[in-house]
Amino acid sequence: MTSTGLVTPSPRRARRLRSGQPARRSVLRQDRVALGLTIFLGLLVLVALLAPVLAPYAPDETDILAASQGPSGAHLLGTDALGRDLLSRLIYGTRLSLLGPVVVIGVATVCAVTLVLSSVWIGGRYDRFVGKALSVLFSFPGLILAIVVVAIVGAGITGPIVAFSIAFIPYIARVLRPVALRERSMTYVNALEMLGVSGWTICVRHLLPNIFPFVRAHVTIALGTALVDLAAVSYIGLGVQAPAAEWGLQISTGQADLLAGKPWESLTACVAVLVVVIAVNILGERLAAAAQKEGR
Amino acid sequence: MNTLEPTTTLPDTAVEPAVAIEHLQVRIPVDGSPAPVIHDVTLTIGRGEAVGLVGESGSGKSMTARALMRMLPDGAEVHGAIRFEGEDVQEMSPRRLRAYRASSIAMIYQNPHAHINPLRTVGDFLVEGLCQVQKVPRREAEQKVVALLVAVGIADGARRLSQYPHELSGGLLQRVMIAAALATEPDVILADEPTTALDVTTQEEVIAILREAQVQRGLSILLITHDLDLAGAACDRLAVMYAGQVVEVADGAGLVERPLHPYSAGLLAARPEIGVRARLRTVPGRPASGFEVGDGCVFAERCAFVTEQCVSERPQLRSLEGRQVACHRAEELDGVLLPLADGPVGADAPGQDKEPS
Repeated sequence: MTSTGLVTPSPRRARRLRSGQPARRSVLRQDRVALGLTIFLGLLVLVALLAPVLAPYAPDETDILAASQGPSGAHLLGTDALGRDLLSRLIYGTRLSLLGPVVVIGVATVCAVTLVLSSVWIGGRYDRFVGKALSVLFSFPGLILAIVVVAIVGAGITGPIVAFSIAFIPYIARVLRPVALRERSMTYVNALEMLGVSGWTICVRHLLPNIFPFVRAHVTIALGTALVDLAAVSYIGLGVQAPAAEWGLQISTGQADLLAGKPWESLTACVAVLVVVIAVNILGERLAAAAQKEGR
Repeated sequence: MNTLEPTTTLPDTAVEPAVAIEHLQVRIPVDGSPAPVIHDVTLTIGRGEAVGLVGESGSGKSMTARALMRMLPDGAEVHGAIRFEGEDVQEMSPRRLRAYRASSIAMIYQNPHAHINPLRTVGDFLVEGLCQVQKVPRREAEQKVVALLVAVGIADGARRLSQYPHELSGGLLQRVMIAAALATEPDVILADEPTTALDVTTQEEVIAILREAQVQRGLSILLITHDLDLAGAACDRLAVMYAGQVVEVADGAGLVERPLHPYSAGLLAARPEIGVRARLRTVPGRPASGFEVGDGCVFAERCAFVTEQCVSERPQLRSLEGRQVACHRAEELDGVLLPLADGPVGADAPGQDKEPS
């Protein structure tokens, strides 16, 4: 009756709908920039995983005779004050610099989505309580929270990760709440309730997949913010500790050379942070725009 | 003057009815203070019976159905009793309520496209109730559902299962909704304006499917509609609702031939007639919502036969000749209303076309 009419979907749309992954493929297929950025970020993860293979030197191999050098054939990005190869440190730095934000945003997203869906579903007093609690949490700057946690558990990467995991919950929940609320008020949700389908099933099988494009978009953007925040904590010396390789820490340790007119260590780490943050931001914006379009 | 003998026996109290609503009152908060949307609804649906709930927009028809499903907006105050096979729906535990919604009662909606998750296939939707709630294996559920699709007139059911809601027309999707409602083998189906969004020929088919389901499966049906003719054709009994109150209950033929309530007469007169080119008659005034009426009869403001008693005292639904009516003057107006159904109601001069206000 309808398959001959005008409403026949394009094969691509039909396949996408059938795949159960509402928007992922189509966004990346329709948007070359988003596709390029995704590939770039994928390569970055590969670099982190394959660091021992890719790095020309060990990250902590010192060569005091070749300290604070500019780029050369032997050291493509130069060396730091201890004569360590900057390219190798940058490559190894990818590991901690990416792992931190991924853990933070992963934990925060799981918590935020759980809180948003449960409060939107249950409503009433619980909803108001969650709303207030998130507002209070939102008023704490993540950096301050991180410093407090570090003061308690000591310097290192664990403290800031725990702190930011908590600090990012309201950041993500705040953007997801209206989306979840709108989805919850859709009449099909009512119809499911009237079918006697449990709240858990409706949330997990219907609400969650339908708000997923928004979750993905905002999580991508938040990833950039988390990266900068964690780098900042390491930069002020409370996060990753020397001699581990991490971009924020590298910016900080390169300062002496920077003031002596040899900017290589700080500069390369800065550029690395900048490039990743810009990449995830643009990707996030593109995904958000696509989700907005998708959600009518 | 009193030509009708009041009777005391109701036609359907002999056996426990499937659904019994008694003096239902619902208030929902509007701007913080509770406003009544349903004043007094008394209605029974017998086992295997189809009851039509007829009234204008805002008369509380859908709200009655939602009260029956216990799906009222947050903060709603409910008085009176809603019983399903003798069990009070208001008193059900959350677990019992889910079981009740899952297997005792089902709902069909006006706009099927809005009531189905657009990102899931028709098959996912149809088996959801069976698989998630009644724990039937998917394969078995699909077989059952395909058989149901055949029963509602969709021959290629197996192919439809993998389609998405947007690929189906309104009529087709409404059949899917009916199949979904039948899938869990409920005792009662609430059909809230199921044909309003469909064209006339599809309307007829959908009603015929519902009627068939009622007869073959012994279903009770509550058909909510503003289309008096449709309700008359599809239902055993009709209940006319106005401003949150049931004002008259009668069988379809009885209502059309001899309305006992002035509002029913007005509704009848307002029906367009094919082949007669005349200005459509309207019920004078505008339809009132439940929270707009005072202490008196809900229809007093628009009624041509209003008395002082009507303004001060609200008439209760009472039995009259095996029918029920909520009007103080039902006995004396009997016979007066009938010719009015063929002329403008509430107008000073019957038979004369009057400019609708």
